[in-house]
Amino acid sequence: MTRTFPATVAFLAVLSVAADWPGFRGTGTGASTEKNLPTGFSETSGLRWKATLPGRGVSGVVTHGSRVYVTASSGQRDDRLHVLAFDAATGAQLWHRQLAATGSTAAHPDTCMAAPTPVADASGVYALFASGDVAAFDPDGTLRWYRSLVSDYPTITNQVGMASSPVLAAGKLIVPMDNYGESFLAALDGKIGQNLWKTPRSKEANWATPAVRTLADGKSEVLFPGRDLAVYDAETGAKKWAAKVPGGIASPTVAGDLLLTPGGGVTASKLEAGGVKELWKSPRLQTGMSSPVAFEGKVYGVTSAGVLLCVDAATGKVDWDFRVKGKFSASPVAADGKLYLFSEEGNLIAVKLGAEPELIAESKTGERGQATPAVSGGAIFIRGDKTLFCVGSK
Amino acid sequence: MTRSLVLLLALVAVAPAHAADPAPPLQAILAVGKEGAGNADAAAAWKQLVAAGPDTIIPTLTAFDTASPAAANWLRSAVSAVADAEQKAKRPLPAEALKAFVKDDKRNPAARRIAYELYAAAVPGEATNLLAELVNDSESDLRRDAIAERLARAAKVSPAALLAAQKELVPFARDRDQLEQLAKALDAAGEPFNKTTHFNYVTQWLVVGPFDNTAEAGYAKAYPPEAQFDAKAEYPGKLGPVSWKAMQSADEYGTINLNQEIGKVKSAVAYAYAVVEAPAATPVEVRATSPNALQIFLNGEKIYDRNAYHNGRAADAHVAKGTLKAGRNTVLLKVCQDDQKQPWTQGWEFAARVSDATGGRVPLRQALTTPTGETELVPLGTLKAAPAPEKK
Repeated sequence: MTRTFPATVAFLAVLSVAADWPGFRGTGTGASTEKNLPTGFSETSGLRWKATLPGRGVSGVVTHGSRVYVTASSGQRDDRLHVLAFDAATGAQLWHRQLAATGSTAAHPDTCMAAPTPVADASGVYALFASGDVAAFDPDGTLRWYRSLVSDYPTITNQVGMASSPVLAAGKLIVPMDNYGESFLAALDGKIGQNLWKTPRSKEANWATPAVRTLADGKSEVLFPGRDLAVYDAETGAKKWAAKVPGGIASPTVAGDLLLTPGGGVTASKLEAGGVKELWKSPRLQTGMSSPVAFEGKVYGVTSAGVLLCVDAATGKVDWDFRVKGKFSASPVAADGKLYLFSEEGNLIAVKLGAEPELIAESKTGERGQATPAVSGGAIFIRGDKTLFCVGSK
Repeated sequence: MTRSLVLLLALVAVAPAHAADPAPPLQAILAVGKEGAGNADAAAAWKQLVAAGPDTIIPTLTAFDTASPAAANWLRSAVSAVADAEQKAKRPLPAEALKAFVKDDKRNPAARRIAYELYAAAVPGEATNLLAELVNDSESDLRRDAIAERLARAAKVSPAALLAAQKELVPFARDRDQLEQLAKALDAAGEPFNKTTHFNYVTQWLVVGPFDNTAEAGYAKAYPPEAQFDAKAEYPGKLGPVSWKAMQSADEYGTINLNQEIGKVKSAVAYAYAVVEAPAATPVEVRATSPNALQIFLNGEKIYDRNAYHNGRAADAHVAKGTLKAGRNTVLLKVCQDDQKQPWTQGWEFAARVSDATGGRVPLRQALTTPTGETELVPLGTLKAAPAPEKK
């Protein structure tokens, strides 16, 4: 072993501990432990870099180590699929791989084929598209495997456009595929993409992303809302239990044994062995398409019209509400004592959290966007319809 | 082993031993099957292809000719990886070979589009000139972009040149939005354009239903109209006896709304029957637009089957390939509705047209019943005639 090896290992360890935002809403909570984060940017300062994207995306940015991964879709029929990797420090585009949609690209105009957020780990990035195409790329852009789920299961269809994001659990890629045709939750082998298990689901559309919970014995379970909230063993795909919990378009949040489920407001439940115990309901937390975030004893949510609410996580009591400008479909992100929101008009809004909220910055990207921001490596990553922005010091 | 030797060996592995046989790496990719079968071999082959560099681009694009949709994406991403690396290294792509590939209309249309984009990246100006020649291309995006390029060029000359170009190019348009723009311009110039005829919609149907589709079981059940057509037959339907009724679409895109024509019935099956006359045996596509689960039969043979509900109303979402025989051909659609109650699940409707492989018009005729009850053969796309004036 050379003398440089331990130093390299230590450096990589710092990178991976401090910076990763690996999937939809980071680790599925929308919260980060990052500190000393920027609050915003202007035309002349605060932007570390920006990069032009080849297409639109409702999908969020994800990071692992020094890599930033983004998906996009383009073309007259929205059938051109793109996966890109950028260097987090410089914004240099490391690679760009293209695929074609093999499933239907019919979708509501508010969404597109790059709607599911990809998920990353040390092995690279897994990208799922609303057309049912899923691919795994190594960090250097090598295609590890590809699947056309619509070729495998031809009745997959959702005229509104699918948006549930894949997650990683028990070393497997968990693919949610609720739709009007053959519906399932499947675990794919990360190395070759073949099914490890595939559990049938109701033939109903669903836009939520499953939550992953690690149990005391180290095993993982996957919580997936739909007609009921169903809980699956991540190792086998076996359905462990289901509970009548309100569901909607937005995704559940698991923070310890606290479960937050959006749908007609937000319901907080305590996760117990084999079921849930309802703690409180907050009808005012109407989060629409965005998902709630639990952070330092509070629950935050934003309505589509821009009313930000802070609710006590223990009691459900509303501590405060606060009006922010814009329409919101991206989920709020909490870190470093602040809440970051990204409006559909393309504005990054930073609110200082506390007994009283304080608007501390509102920065304009100049283009529309719907993706949830990512927090990683001391920076905020946001994507508009055309551009990827890295907000942070150079 | 030096890097150049590694690349040389990889290239030898990719180069075809015989022009008709894809090299082993391409064969491995072409062999990928359902549910990830063959992925491990394909991944190794993908690395070989990419390592071989730009010389592998044309063989890889050629392999699209026999590729499944899944295999085509392995190939597509390999080409994009090679091109990405070459462009980053500021090395030229094989422009002349790419141009020749674009011009070879026997090759796979999607592969030719990729070749065009790489050619355009290599020599943008020359590529635009090539594009302008492709208004009748088999690849839909090349065709669309070529029309747009020619219109843009004409617009720079004069309004008269633009109008002339619009008249010249409108027969080549296949996308609804592009055609509507052209038709609108021609309408404004006093030269109305018939979109229904252009797209060859079948506008005259005999429709029967509802039959039962409870628990979606009716989709797989062959009701009597599938076995034999009998215009005078009466069948036991879901709500009582049903018989064939003549229906003519009044919609420029040929829609028949079954909720209006049969009634708003959930968990139901309807059949639509039409006769299409061809002057000679003709390979065609029956292209349908419907949010419902759908089966298409041509001359009694099932040529399309999609058991999925609530697909939206994207034009030509269902494409079935078949061959018309000379003379009389029958087209039968089975349109199934499920029991969902949400507002966006209520559509029960269809439209269908018969086209060539590009979506273009084929000279066909259909039997049309006139308001006076007579039957005549008219071109596809003929809309419902105006009602005969009442005699006082």
